[in-house]
Amino acid sequence: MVVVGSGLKRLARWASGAALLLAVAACSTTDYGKPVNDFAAATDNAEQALAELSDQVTEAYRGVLEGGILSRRSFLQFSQDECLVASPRCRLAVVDPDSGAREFYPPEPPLIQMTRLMTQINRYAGNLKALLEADTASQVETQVNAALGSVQNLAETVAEARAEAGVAPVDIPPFATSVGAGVNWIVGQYVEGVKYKGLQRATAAAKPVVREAADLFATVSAFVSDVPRKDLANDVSKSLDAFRDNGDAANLAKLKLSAAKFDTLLTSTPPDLFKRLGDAHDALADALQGGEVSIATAIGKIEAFAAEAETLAKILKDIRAIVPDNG
Amino acid sequence: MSKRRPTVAQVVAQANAAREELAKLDRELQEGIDEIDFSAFRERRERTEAEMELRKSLRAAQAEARESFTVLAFVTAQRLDDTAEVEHLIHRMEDINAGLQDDLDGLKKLEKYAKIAAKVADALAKGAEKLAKIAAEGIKHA
Repeated sequence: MVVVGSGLKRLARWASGAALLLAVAACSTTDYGKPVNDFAAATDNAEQALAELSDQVTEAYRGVLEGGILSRRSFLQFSQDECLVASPRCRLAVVDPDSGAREFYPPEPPLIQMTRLMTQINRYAGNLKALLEADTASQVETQVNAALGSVQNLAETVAEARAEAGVAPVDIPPFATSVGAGVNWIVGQYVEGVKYKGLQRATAAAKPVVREAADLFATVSAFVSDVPRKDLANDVSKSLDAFRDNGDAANLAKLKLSAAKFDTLLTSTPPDLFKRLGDAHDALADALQGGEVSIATAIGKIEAFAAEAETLAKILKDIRAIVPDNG
Repeated sequence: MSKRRPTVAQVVAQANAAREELAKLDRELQEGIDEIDFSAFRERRERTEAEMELRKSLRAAQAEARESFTVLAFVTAQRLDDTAEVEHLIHRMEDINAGLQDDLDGLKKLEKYAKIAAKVADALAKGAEKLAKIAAEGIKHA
């Protein structure tokens, strides 16, 4: 038995170390399951919204460049040292004859670095979720139970051998169950401690980063929102001109509709999504630090962010539908 | 010497100033158009040929000014994307993600240790079982 017991020394080594983290594990990470999962899902939607904004501004800019090329205001040529036999690439460039400024045609998306940043934030949200959902405790529990089961079997075999040999039998208590439960409890607490500490450390470090990134995304989003505004402003101006040229009922109805479409866009575009991303993450981080922000408050902010992410995804789709086709 | 990249604050300040100018131009051009149309309306007359020409050029200028909003949005997005701050934020997020990955790896190691312990216990139990039987045989024959 002594020999067998030494086989569990490794297991015991980390189990004893677990005591250090028991105090930390007092607050169960299961409490954070909902906010962390919701945050990860909403961040996924926010990443898509940022990609959509990048596409939107790129497409609009392509239209501007094409307008210049087709009206012969801009000169089109190969990019420097490109499109030749020994060139590594072949891209076209639009040149402004006055300033000499060059731009690729078609233009490349402008938000390459920010897309990388958003991908990292999304990965971070996924990592928080993965850490929370890691089922190490149950995996370890299976192994611990298997180990203790072997020990129990041995004890029973020895007892049988003693009995067969005519040596007085001894009672074999079902120690594996109670010892296993104890070890598994320690393992569970240890795992909870690692998870909780990990969540605390990561969210605290990410708080200023996510806030700054969210503010940046909000700034970009505010400028990009001028693109559909411009299209609808032109549309309503055209309708006004038609009405002033011929003030009949049909032109009045068209003007009314154009104004209503533009008004819908102006009153429903929320550059709030990315601000809410920052607010939601701040609340999650603060709740995990055990400060004044409760888990319920964090959940509320994350739900507001999630709702905004869904709304924006819908609005960006709707914009494609309501913005008049320039082509 | 490499050119210093502008900060986010500088890019935003320049873009806002440009946007204000464009918005002002858009408003002034619309006012010019409305003035022509309203004076003809007030005087109960058709717009003159000259007024129509002027109006057309004002509308064309307005369309160009509005197109500049798209250019401004694209260029601002591009300039913001190119700031040192964005690059720095990416690195910080990468570090945070590496830390989280370490935590996950640590938990996986825990699983590995438990598996090793189980195997060791199992092997020792089986070995000791045989020894116990041999010992029991010895007791019987003694």
